[in-house]
Amino acid sequence: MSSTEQGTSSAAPAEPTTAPESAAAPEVPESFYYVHGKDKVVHKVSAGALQHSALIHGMISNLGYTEEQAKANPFPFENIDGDILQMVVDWCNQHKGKPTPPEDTNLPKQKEKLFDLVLAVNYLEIKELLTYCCKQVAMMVKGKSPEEIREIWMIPTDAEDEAAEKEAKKRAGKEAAGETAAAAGDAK
Amino acid sequence: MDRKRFPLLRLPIVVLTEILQIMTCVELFSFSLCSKKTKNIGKLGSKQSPTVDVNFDWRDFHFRLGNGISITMRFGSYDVLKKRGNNLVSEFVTISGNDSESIGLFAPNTKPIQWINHLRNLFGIQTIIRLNISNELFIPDSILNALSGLKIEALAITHRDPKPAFMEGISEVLIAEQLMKQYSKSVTALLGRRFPSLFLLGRGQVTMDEILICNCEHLHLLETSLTDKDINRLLKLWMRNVITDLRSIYLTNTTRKEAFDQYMILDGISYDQLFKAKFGLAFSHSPGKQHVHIYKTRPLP
Repeated sequence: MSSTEQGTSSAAPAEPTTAPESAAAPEVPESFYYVHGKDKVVHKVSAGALQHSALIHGMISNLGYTEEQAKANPFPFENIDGDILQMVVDWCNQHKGKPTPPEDTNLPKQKEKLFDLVLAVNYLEIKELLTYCCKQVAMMVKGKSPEEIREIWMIPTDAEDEAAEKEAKKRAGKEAAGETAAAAGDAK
Repeated sequence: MDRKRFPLLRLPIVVLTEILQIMTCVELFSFSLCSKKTKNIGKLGSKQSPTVDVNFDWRDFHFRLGNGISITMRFGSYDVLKKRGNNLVSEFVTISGNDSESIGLFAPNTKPIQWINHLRNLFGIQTIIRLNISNELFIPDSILNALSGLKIEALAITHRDPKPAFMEGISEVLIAEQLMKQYSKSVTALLGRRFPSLFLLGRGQVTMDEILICNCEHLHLLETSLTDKDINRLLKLWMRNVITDLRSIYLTNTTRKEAFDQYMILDGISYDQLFKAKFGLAFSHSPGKQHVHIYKTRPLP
């Protein structure tokens, strides 16, 4: 497995030796966890940054991993592309322990990336980031006519919906017929 | 997947709901017009707005939803109204919201009733606070049929004078005038319905017989042309419980040249209290108690 330790630079200020406020009140060393996406590239993320994800936070709490165990067993998110997971990790690191601002302009402008990001963020249950993404999606159709909305959001027309429904019924009928034929063959 | 577009309907329902709830009413309305599917899905985004204030004005629909949001639908403009068969149709409809955003839609053969039903379903409207039908193009009966099943708290039916300029010189004026002539019949049909309050701005179109079959609690006869004698007769019948459910009557006389004759109106009427104010007449009646409010009347001799 290839491994790049992402997020370490952003996590560095939290180290007791480097953080300026640590002199006043010594902090417990921050623990780190590891995640990887479809591309198997491992990202190192601090527990503080992972607080944003209700899913990962729940996994950490339930598993009670030590840092060694966490390093040996990175959380696998096979359904998330590597670059999308990188974006999510970056966002979590940037917003670690900070109040989330009302607007976030760093989200991807490309629609296909935004779609994958929305799915990933929803899966990881990162509420604030999901809200930003949803706002960005809603902004796509600001001041647009129904025809333009249909184009941007790939909404099929009624005729296309009907054709797709017919096709699905036909396919379901064929599959059912195939199953009964197979069952009859098995019975023989 | 098409790399340049966003397949919204492939998103999980939770995310889709959040996106739709961020959208404004006008955007949501545009989205609901994309297809039958989006018309149904659009309901996910409509915030709770169980009440609505509807005004069918001149050439516009004004919908003020219970959550403070308003939508106005404007049907074409005067210079693009054309005659098609026997119907007046507009070339487009513009929808605008209270934050001054708007969209224009090409909608030939636009039928206002379709739009009413569309909005009603999309925003889950249950109660209409006040319904004002003030345009001859919006036929009261058909609008009320479209709104059947909804609770209507107050109704106003008006028509404007002088006639709209765009009607001059085209045959639809006759239709509109016929409609005006049939207006009192429409009112008779409407009065059979149960309304807590009824506002009639009929410019003399409402007759005594129609008022006597009125089935509402509070009747507002604005711009009435009932004579003082008629009003006196109405009050006497009311006091004798001929009109059972009516609790209050309010009259204004903006179309009459002379002021109400208080002496004639109150002839033979017993009342507990008499209040004086600036305009019109108001009578309230509760078991064993009558209050009469006299506004802008000729002084008692």
